[in-house]
Amino acid sequence: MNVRVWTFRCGRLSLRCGAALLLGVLSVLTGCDRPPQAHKTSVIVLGFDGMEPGLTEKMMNEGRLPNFARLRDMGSFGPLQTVIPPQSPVAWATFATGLNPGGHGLFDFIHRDPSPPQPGPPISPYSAMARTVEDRPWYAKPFIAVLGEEIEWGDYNIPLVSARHELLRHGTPFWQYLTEAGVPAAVYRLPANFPSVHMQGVSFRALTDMGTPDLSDSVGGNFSFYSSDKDFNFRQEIGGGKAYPVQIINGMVLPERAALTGTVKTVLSATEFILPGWHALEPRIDGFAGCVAVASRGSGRGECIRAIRSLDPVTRTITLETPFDFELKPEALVKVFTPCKLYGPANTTVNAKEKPALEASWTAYVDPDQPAACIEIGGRRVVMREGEWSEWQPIEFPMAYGLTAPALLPPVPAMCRLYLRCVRPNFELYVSPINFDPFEPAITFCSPDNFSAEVAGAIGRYYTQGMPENFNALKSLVLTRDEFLQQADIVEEEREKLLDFALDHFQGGLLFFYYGGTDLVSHLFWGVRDPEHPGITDEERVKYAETVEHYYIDADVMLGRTLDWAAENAPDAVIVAISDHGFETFSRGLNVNNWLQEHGFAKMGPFRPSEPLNINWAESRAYAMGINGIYVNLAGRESRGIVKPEDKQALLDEITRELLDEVDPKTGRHIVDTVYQSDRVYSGPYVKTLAPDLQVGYARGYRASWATGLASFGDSVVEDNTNPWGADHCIATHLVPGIIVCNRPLTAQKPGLIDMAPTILRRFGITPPTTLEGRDVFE
Amino acid sequence: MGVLNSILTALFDTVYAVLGLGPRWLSLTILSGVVGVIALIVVRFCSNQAAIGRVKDDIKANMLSLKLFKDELRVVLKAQARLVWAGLRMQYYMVPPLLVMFIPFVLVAAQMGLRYQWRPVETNEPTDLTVLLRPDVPDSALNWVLETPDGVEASPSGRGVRINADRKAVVWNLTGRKPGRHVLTLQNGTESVTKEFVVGRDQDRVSPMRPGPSLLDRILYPAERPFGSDSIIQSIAVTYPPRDSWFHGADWWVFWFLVLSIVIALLLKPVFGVKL
Repeated sequence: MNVRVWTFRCGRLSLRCGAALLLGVLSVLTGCDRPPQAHKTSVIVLGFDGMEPGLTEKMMNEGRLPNFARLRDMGSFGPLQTVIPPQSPVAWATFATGLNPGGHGLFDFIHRDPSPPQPGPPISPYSAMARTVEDRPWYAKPFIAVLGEEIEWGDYNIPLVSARHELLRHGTPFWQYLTEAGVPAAVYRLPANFPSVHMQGVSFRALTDMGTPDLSDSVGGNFSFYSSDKDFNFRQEIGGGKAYPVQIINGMVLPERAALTGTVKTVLSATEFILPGWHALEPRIDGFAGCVAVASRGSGRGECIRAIRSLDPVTRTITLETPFDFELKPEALVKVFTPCKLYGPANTTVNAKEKPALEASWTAYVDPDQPAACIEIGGRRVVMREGEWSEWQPIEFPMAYGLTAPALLPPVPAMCRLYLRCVRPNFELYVSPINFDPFEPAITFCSPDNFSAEVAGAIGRYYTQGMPENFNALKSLVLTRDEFLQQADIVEEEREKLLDFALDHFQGGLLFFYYGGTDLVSHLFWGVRDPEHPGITDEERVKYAETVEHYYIDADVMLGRTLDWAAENAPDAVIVAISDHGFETFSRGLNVNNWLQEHGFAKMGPFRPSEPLNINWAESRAYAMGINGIYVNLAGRESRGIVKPEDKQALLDEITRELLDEVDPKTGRHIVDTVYQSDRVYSGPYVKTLAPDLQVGYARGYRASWATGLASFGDSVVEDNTNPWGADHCIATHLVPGIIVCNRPLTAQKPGLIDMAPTILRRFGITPPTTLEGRDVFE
Repeated sequence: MGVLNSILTALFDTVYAVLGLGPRWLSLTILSGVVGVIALIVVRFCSNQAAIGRVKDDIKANMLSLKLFKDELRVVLKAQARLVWAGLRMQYYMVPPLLVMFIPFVLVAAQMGLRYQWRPVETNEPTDLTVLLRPDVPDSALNWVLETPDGVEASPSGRGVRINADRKAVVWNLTGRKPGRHVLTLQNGTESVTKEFVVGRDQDRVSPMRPGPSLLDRILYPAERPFGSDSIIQSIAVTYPPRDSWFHGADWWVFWFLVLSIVIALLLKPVFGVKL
């Protein structure tokens, strides 16, 4: 999170308090934040991300998806045409807007700025769904004019120019037409909808999902892993997380390195002594609560830990809460430990060149013989046994220390879940990505502003980041497959509670509910269907053979609840279950930049091949970035472009031809099924500015390699995918259609995601605007 | 102290048996009003009302002279000095009633804290139980076993997680499965102690800590019998969630209690003929 987003919200607090009454009156007058309202027409859309038509139909026919079969028997079932490329944010943006990607501006998970401000890299990648932008609210402008963009306050800079997230999905979402027409709408966890835009007029409720970051502003979430295992490679790069070494002394878990080590100079009393060597102390230990002193016994019989009451950096005096259990003498070795830390994003308000990370302390105590530990975090004590997951633990990340600064820069409220993997022989603790607390949301992931708290009040805290299944921890092998599934089951439980909440509060109008479990679990377990998948062992193939099916059955249970609810409460409701794409195994990855180099279209830069943006811009005519995109290094568009606009089409045709001819030397199969030229498949205002020039539609079993996403190079042109992420859908669009099941007969041939918006609008008697590209699939 | 706390707890339990029938904001308002009235009565009888009357007259007279002779620097300065002196005298005359009220006020506030600061845990809401021991006890003193009644689950069951580092303590996770005021029993060899644990009854008072010899703890946590100075136990604590309300919730209740009792006392002072 950009901490400015938080400070901005805090700054607004005072205004909010003062204007609470006025806002209350205004909200009544304008109709915002209204309670759910009844409506005679009901449309319920369940979005099951990544449900594949073949497996769905097979399981329906086997009787394993009775509720999908029930819905099919009431109406229709069939494949649903997806988008180019079949990536979830792109697909759900099309669902929301009824526009092709050229109209809503999402073409990939990653976009690039072809001509960012200089000096800097010649192109700049960014998350395509949302970005952080500067914000100068009207009431801050006079202060900014007088005081500047920030006020220096001791060790801190209080920002007046603030920040907010901006949704990069363009176009008008169809629920805006609904709410404008007086139809209440509730949109739960739709991807590519962060930050949620508030609607005026009637009741509108929304929670966001994919694209909603955790506290560190990571879309996939950054976990933390603490281990006392000396053999663990803490220096390895862990995608989507970080590992920290710890040690255990007398059952207490402490950071691997002491903040201060020294020999006692003078013993003042049983609880007071002078310890030199403060130059080794961290530059800033804020408050000494939680610090402990560890003294070695003279006879070498171990160490004794005592809590520190105060540390005086002037006199170098340390005062303990209670004396050591042996007489401390001069020259005794004493170490001072700060508690273990959980780290957040950089604290940009600190008045220093290098911004320290936000941090919150935690401490753990391991029982001498039981496989359990007591973890103190966020002012709470959690007793956990090995292999146990905790409830959500609310924590606060202090932004400032001292007497006055904390009042201006209050702590950031957040929360995390803990997983105690083991306590001996090594202590290993996984901490989930730090999520924003729905009771005190620091960013706008819901609509209206208090909706996340209303939901949490009813169902308890829940994952607020998008894509909550922590796939990064499994990809990094910090969690095993079984542990990942345990965590995914927790997400599943939260989803079920959320669905119950959504149904309980639905009184007609539109209800959209998104279920992402089928997608993320398929990414990690669909690969077991491939007997030759290089990333899956025979043992895993057997053990996890039914894992994807298990989540399909969970999806079926959720659909069943919805059907039962509708049968009782809204028998005339239109009920539609859709998925945005299907699935395929991903066993081989194409290093597209290596391929471009091999074919003379690109040249690697001077850095390590795995370095992002490692392109020799002076000699590259094209480069690959994102999961499906290839861009021409176009003069006049790219900051160091070399291809003249008149040569672009010939180059695109040449790349297309050679890509389609490419054969995998290992398997003898074609790697690419289709290549889409953007100006031929897209229309709309964002084709020229944002779209990759080519979208590569890979053949079954293939996808862009992991290195391609950030314009890096791999070791070879085609490589085995040994990552646990062994299945994907970012391939040729026609190979991975989604599904549609509904309680009305489908009349349209080849219905697609793009048809959903006009179809839903028609159900409420609203004529879709002519800008919408699809048609009503029921008429 | 223990006896006084027991009497007060019983008294407040009786009072809240009635007040608890209504909403919490009402009970806080009523109690604040009662305390305001009692404060008025104490001031009426424990302060020198005649002297306070004279001081108030002095204040009025000097305020008047400030207004009338605002161009006379000597008079203004003299009146200001007299106002300061009158303020000091007023504070001096308020010392006896404040002294009389201080201890009862703290005891009442402690009782109210048990009802407004924390709430009972909800059914299935996890919390923790911590037995804090004296730092000089031997390791064997950590072997406490928790016996839970029907409707309460502890993890680990039996022996808790033992902390033997910067402090000596034993910790359990507790989950209440049935609403009620449960009694937990802790045993270590022949020694057996109890701690109450309240689940699911929102109007009930809680006892976050059974205190040890610390006087402050005994004042702040008066609901349960404290451990003696010879006990190896310093305290047994259950973490109850803070009550969430900007009026009668954690921390806010103290503010509103003070404000309301002062406002009510000021409003009613003519009724009681009290000079303030």
